[in-house]
This record gives sequence, C-alpha cells and structure tokens, in this order.
Amino acid sequence: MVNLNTIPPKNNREYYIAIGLEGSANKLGVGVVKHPRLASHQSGDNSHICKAEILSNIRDTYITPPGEGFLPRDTARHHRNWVTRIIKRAIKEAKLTDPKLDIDVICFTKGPGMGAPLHSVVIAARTISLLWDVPLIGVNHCVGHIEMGREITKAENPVVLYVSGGNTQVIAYSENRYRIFGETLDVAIGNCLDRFARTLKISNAPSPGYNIEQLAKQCKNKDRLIQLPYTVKGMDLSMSGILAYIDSLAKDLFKENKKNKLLFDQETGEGLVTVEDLCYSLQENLFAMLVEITERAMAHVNASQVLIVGGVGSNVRLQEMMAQMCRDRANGRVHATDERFCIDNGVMIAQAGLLQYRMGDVIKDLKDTVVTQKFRTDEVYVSWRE
Amino acid sequence: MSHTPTAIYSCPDIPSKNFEVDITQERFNTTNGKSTGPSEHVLNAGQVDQDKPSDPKHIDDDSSKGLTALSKLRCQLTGLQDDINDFLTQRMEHAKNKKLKVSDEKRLDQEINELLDGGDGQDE
Amino acid sequence: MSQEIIDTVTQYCTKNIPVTLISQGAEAAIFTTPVHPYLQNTNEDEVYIIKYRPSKKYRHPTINKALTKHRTLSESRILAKLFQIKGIKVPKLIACDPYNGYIWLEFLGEDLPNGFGFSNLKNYLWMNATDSYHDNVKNTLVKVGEQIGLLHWNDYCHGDLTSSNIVLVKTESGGTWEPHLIDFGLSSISNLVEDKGVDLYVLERAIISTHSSFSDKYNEWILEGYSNIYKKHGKAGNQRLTEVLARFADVRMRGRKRSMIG
Repeated sequence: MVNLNTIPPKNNREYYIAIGLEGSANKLGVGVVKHPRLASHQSGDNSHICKAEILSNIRDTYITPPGEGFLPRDTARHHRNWVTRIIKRAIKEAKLTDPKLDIDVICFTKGPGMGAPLHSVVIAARTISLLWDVPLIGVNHCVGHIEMGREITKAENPVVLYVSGGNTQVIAYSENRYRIFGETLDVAIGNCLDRFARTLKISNAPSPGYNIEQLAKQCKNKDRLIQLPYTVKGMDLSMSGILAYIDSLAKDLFKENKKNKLLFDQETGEGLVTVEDLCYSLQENLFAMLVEITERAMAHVNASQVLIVGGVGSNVRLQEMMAQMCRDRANGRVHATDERFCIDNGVMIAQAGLLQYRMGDVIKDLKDTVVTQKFRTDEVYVSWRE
Repeated sequence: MSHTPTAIYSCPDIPSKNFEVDITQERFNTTNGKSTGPSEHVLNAGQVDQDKPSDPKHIDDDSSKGLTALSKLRCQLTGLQDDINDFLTQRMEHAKNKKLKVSDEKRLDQEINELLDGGDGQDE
Repeated sequence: MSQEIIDTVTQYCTKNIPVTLISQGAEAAIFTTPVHPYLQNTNEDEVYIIKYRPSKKYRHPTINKALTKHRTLSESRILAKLFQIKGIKVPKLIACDPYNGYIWLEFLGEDLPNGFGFSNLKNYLWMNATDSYHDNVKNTLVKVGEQIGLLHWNDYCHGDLTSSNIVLVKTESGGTWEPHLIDFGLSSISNLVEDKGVDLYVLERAIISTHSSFSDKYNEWILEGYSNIYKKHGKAGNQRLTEVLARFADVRMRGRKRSMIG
C-alpha cells in the first residue's frame, strides 16, 4: 500500500516544499515545487495527481557557437558561475522568506549525464543542504522527466517516449520500475540531430533541434522525400547509419560538391536539394521510426496513452505524428508538455525527489550524494507507485 | 590573523599532497585563473565568454582600500584551483603517455568528439 | 480507425470472402476468413488468416509505400523459405499482395483456458505466473530457444522477437506446446554475428520488461534450447555458438555502457 504521507511536512504545515537542482547537460535549472498534503495520498496510487504548484522554474542554458557542441569542462564552468544566482532567483520568485524553515528537501540530479556538470551542481546542493540544514535526495534524471510529465498531463499509466540529447527510450511502468521496452542501439535522437546541425553549422540558440524543426517547416519539396535508411529492430531502433548517410549529404551540400548526383543536376550544376529539404527528410524519417516503436510498445503492453518527455519532445511535428498514431488506435491519447517542462529543468527534479522524500527515502550521509554518469531508468525502485 | 584555504589530495600511490595559498604569488590575487577559463577549443570557434567571474571587490568599493574578505577568499581559491588543475592534468597526461600512439592533434580531436557524443572522457 | 481498416479490407476482399478482425497490432491488422483462395472443399471449421498492413497516416507516403511493400514481400519470401527447412515451425504461406500489403496465412494457436487470451508465449507465461518454474514452462521455453537457434543456424534473423510474436500450438497428444515463430516483417537473411546478437538481445530485453519477476530463469532456458541446436553440429557448431554468444554479451554491454545524458 502506497502512503505518500509517510513523512509529515516541516513545522506542522499542511504542505511540502522541495527545491530541485538540475545540470546534467548544458541546461542549468532550479525549481521550487509545493505539494499539499492530501488525504487521497494516504493510500493508493495517486502519484500523478499531487496538485503540485510550481512556485518557480528558472533556467539558464550554456550555448556554444554554430558548429560546436558543448564540452563537459566549459559546461561545468557555466553551471558553477551561474548556480548561486539561479538558486537565489528561484528562492526569490517562489517567495520563500527563510529557506531553512520553508524547504522540506533539496533534490539534485544524481545522473545520468555528463560528469563534470553533474559534479558542479551537486556541490551547490550539498552546500545549501549544510547551510540550511535541509536533507538531500538524489534523483534519476529520466524518472524526473517521467514524473513531471505525469503530474502535468495527469496521464495515469502511459507508455513513455523519452527523447533527448542523450536518450531515446520507450518506457512503461511495471512492478515498481520504469522498464525500458525499446531504445536506441547506438546514438540518441537528440545527439543525431545535434551532430547533423553541427555539420551544417546550424545555430545552437536556443537549441539545434528547434532550428532544424523551423528549417523543416520551410521545406518546399515535401513530396520529394530523400530516402534514408529506416532501421527499426523490434521495439529498438538504430540511427547511426542514417546519421552517417545524411551527414555525408550535408557535407557535400555545404562544400558544394557538384559531383553528388542526388544534390546537384549533373548537366546544369543546379542545386536539387536545400538545407530545408534535408532537415525535413531527416525529421520525417527519424520521427516515423520513433512513433513506430512507441506503437509497438503500446500494442505489446495493451496501453492506450502515450506521454512524450525530454527535450526533443517539444518538437511539434513529433507531437503531431504521435497524436495521429494515437487517433488511429482505439481510445488512444497522446500527452505532451511544452518546452518549460520538456526541456531539462529543476522543477522535474523537485517533483520526483519530493515523491521519493514523501515515501521516506532520504540521504543520511553526504557520502551517498555521489553523482554517476551512467544511471539507467530501470535501476530506480519506484516506491510511490503500486 | 586570517585563515587561508588548503586542499589535500590523496590516492593509493600518493598518501597526501598538500595545496596551500602563498599570497605573495600573483595567482592567489586574481579571480581570473589561468586554468579556470573557457577551453581554447571553444574560444577558437568564436565563443564569447559570458561566464567570466567578476573582478574582486574592494572594501566600500574604494580601490585604495583592501579587498573584501569574500573577494580575498575567491582569489585564493582561484589560485588553489589552478594548482590543483595543473597537478591533475600532469597526472592524467602521465597516465595517458604510457599508451599514447596517435599523434597529439588527432588524439585531441578524437577526445573532443567522444566527449561531445556523450562519452565521459575516460578510456574504456 | 479500426472501422476504416475493416472497411478497406472488406472492400478489398469483396463479398465472397467474409473477414473478421481478431486483433490490431502496431503494424498490422489480423483478420480471419473461412475462405481459402484457391483450394476447394476444405474443412468447414477451417479458418485462415489475412494479415493487412495499413498505411500509417502519421508517416510520409513515400516511406509508407516503401515499407509496406518491403515488409510484406520480405515476410512472404522468408515464410516460404523457412517453411521448407526441417524443424522450423512457422505458419504456412497461402498468398500475398505486397503492393497492397496483404498476406494470406495458415491459422495457428487457440484460446487459453480461464480467459488468459490467445495462446501466444506472453499470455502463456502470464497464465503460468503462479507456477512459473513448472517443467512444462521450462520445456516450452527450451523449445522456443530451439526454434530461434534453428532460425539463426540457417542464417535468418527475426528482427522482432518478443513473447507476443511466438505462438504456441498444442501438440496432438495434448499436454505440451509447440512454439511457432510469427511476424517476420522485420526479418532478414543474414550470416552476421552482429544481427544474431542483436536478435537475442532484443528478445532478452522483451522478456525482462514483460516477465520481470522470472526473467532470469526464462532467459536461461531459452538460451539452453538455442545452444542445443548449435551443439548438434559438433566442433563447427560450438565455435559458431561461442561467436554468437560473445557478440550477444557485447551488444548487452553496449546497451549498459551507453552513456545517457539527459
């Protein structure tokens, strides 16, 4: 029996407050979330209806010049230089007058992610924990995305498509774990888009994926799709072949290699394919694969709902395709959140961390706050669900 | 009498290595460390450094007065960080040299690409 | 949508071939029909499967067309070839129309007792969840492994191994079950150890996520059956088995090691 009210809120209050710190990749986010203490949480699986109130959600992104990715060292430096300011802003916007008394728990990303950025953020978390004498909770980044998505959309038990810079997974809950049904066999979707953007020197602001999406919208040859490998293996997929192929096309296009028959008219030397066309074809192909493996997982576990989370999840074209697939299935529904929650943020870490905290799972020794680069979604024991 | 920060590094082959502040050295009197800036790789690509630490503050903002206590501490930590980074980089280079085969430039490129693709910068 | 599919298929099959929708998978809708396209005088109780791959509205028409044709054709070809290999159990191919996405097949399986649904491996394992380590379960899973072993030994890869894609057919004497592999839309002819390793990995993961509590034993039994087939071929067999299993372990490691940055 799940009882989310195991630990009473501080100072006999009727609500909990958690602060979350996220910095596993190039976004640094701090968020404050409030849960009322509800009788409906005394027993039963109601973790998707916490009536969570978001008191603040502050984020700052480390942006690199076009053609460059973000290196761990520089990203960590960005986080170090901003983390104090961002925490202050989050506290101020949440109107917390005394964090010492107001905050029940401090949540930080334990992993997965880039080592150096994770380290800089956990040091900030430990510091405020000692400063305010507030306990710490380490959160799995992916579980953070899932719990935030469930809370926002109220999707009770959806198949989750988690798509971001470092992840591509199809997840479903079963027996106290978020189990991975399908995933990429090589590179992640966001990584694939980022690398393609780097070759074409597409801007990294606000994100390469967003700019690819905008370019794809401007494609004028939508009926002339460039054929790319379509590699679905059961509920898994592979993207390295597609990336290598489209990357070579992108290089030829960028360098104007007129010998490429697909890109240039061999007689007139006229360009046949534009950057927009490449972006469009790449998106159509990759997203079709994502929707297909999601549908396979839905059929396999008899689910009717889909929740899309992670940075790439804010892509409107992907949401459209997923919605179309769901419409064509009996009672199918798709849930997606907007960029405030899709893109890495502190609130999601606070949300998942607070659920953990309310179940009585809290770090007792600073030794247990070590962060880890590799931390699979199914390693987490999900005590707050039945 | 004021306290200065220190750091101790220890590992199986080094029982303890101490890092201490020496305020006569320039590196303990600036917030602009030589190893704490952005990496050369991104600067070459045209990165504008927006994460630069602010300069140390003087008491009452009066440059004839000394630095504030917090600014002093920031400067001293910057110097310590430089020393630690130097030391760790040397250790890493030393460990890598043992199995170094490819040329430096190629190796750097390779490492950067691996890092960008989500590797952890460690040898498998 | 289901109605739309039913309408399309009903129209395609005409009045003379009545169809009943029995399941809508992710990729295809499965119908039954009492009519055989070219054999007369078949048994009245006999039914056949019509498998239809509808085009997906979410997918670009060019991709749809290419996939429907490729998968229908390749599934038909592979079924026809596998059916001739001794020991391999797959449904018999009756007819196919790759451009429109239709395959006509022999019907396999039955309904499990007590409302556990159709006799695929997934439902069978769920039915036996209370007594999971029973000899019958072990026997069935070893046989599943043998089917996959035979497939790989003959250089075919399934590409979509899950417990839903294995149908159990009751032996004539009753009592035991004969596993049949179905759904070859993602299959390929391949002698690459990599493909075989991935095939095994995909199945192992499907078993872990769908039958979590008993997955260790289940996977062990499947591999036992798989190895049996290779070991029958002496030294060469053993050597190939070692290669596949090593690559399988390798693919698994890659999965675990893949760093996952949010």
